[in-house]
Amino acid sequence: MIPKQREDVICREEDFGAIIFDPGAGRMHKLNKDGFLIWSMCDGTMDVSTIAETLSQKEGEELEDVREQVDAFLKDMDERKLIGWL
Amino acid sequence: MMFSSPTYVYLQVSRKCAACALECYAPPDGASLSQKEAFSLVDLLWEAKVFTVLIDGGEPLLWEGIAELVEYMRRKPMVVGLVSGAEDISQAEALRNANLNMIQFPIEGPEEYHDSIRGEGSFQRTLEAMKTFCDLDIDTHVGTVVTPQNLSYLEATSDIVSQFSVNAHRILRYIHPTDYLGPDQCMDLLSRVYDLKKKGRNIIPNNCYTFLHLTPYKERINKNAFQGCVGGKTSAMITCDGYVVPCPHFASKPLAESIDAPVIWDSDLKTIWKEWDFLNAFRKGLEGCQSCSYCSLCGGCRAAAYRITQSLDLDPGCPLSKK
Ligand code: SF4
Ligand code: SF4
Repeated sequence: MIPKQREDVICREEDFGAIIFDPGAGRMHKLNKDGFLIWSMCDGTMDVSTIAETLSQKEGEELEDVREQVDAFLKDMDERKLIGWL
Repeated sequence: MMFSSPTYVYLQVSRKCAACALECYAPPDGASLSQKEAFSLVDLLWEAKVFTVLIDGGEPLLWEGIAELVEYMRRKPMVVGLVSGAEDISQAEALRNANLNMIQFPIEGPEEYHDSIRGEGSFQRTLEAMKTFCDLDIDTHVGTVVTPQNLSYLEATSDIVSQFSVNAHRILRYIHPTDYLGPDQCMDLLSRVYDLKKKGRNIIPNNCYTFLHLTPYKERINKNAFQGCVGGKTSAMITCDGYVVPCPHFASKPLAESIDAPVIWDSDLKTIWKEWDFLNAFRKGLEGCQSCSYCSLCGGCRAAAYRITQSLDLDPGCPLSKK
């Protein structure tokens, strides 16, 4: 499964992470730094395992823990309808 | 958590309107943005990734080219609301076609009281505007500015508003140097708003009652979303002279000048947002709030304090300010 950011949403990078603006719903969503990192990788080229592996290498954390974090984040983004799946 | 620029901006297109008897935050003086200025401000705001704009006045519906401006903003695609005095609704369909997200009209109280404030015939004109925009399926809100004079009309005003399919009846704060609601009146108002809410009314006190969490209405606050004063945290206003001010209650030229408000044409929004001393002090909350445990949530209404003492001292409506 490959997650991909919805094309019409707008991302504004912030010191704390980012704000994602959904113009259709007129809603803003705040992301922390970890969330923003995962979000940035949802460009439609990386599957969930690759995202988790990349993040685990980058942060120097256990793959299993990172995978849980990535799954939870993507579930949340999916529920908020900010990403789709390829 | 500080944002790099506001996410929400009030854009004052003019200070032209029929005037009313309330001491307004932007008394009419004929000033106006040119069309060129307005469109280039929208570009500046979008460049700073400001997502939501509330067009304010004066009476924005009298500003020439209002529907074209809304359409331009919606195509960015910003979320666009408009605060109107219902002075001219000839642009209603054009605004629907421009995809306006929301419009707000004022009801100050029952007909006689409303007309004493906004001029004869304005009550009926406002009802017609509400009906027209509701029928056009535009998200329509009503705002009531509560003063010591119309406090007793709250329920009657809510009865009027509830006859229309408006999506929200907003209870707004009157910011005035002497004629404001004190702590007991605020407490009374907000407990009655809570009672109306329990009856199913779509009535909402706005965030500017920053101390809502100390009133019976606290039961209805979404604790994850409530922000107290949003001026300088998530929102700002740009006046039709180009001044950047923390909130609409600084939108007259004399008030903007009294706080040395920077001008948007001279500097960029992000720099103003980050470096303007007054805004940084504003963000921290009132001086009298610094030892209050609610300060980071609330911090008091800075505009109310400023109008009374010309300093960021104490919110005159807060129940704790009595002590
Ligand atoms: S200063 Fe007062 S009126 Fe202005 S946004 Fe803050 S709480 Fe509202
Ligand atoms: S003292 Fe200030 S921070 Fe505390 S509740 Fe009152 S207005 Fe809010």
